[in-house]
Amino acid sequence: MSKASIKWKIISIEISEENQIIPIDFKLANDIVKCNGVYLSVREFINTPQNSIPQIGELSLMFNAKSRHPLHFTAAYSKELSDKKETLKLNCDIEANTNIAGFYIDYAQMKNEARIFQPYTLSIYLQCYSKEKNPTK
Amino acid sequence: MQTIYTHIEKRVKELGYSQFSVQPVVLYPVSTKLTYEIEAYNELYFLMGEIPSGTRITSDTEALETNSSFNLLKTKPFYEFSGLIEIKLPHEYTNAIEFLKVILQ
Repeated sequence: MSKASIKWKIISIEISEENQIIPIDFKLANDIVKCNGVYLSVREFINTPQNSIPQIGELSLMFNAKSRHPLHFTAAYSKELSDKKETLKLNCDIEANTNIAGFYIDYAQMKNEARIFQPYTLSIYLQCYSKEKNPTK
Repeated sequence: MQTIYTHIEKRVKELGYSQFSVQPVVLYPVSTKLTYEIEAYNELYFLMGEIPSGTRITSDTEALETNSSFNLLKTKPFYEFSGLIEIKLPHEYTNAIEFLKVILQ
């Protein structure tokens, strides 16, 4: 008998230049069987004149040797704290020994009042399920 | 060394298709135009030739920006674009830009 347990996988992307393109190539552990959701967050407080920026960049993620492409959308930034951490639904079964591939493109929106680009780190939280064996009695 | 054709066969199989056809696509840039779009839905485009430093090629599945050290033969085996492909040239460039188009069937 086996049961599944939730495991969060975090991919961090450091954006140091405006309009930067960052390739993503991330190997999931072999016990991951499904990724159900994704949540994006900018790690630092960024000194922008706006409280929120609806589009800071574009993220594309592909699973299972690029055969599944469940995610291609824009990331947002907000200074306001929120307790709601709802994930975007992925519902993607994971084949063993395959990578997560894709890219992030910055939209050059993270600028301070002097219009100087502010580097930031984007964290991609993947809500995954791993297969775990029950301990034998 | 893996050739482009063995790589294409592998990718087509991974994507769940059994048949495909291949044809070269050559873009001849016009001196006054720096941005180009290609609709590559249900198709794969593999970059085959050199492009100038500072070129950005983005698509639904791949994004690439070249710099002065970019070498297509050394940096990555194959660049595969699909969906809406946008090519932005950094400056006037009139040499051909070559792709290999794979039509999935």
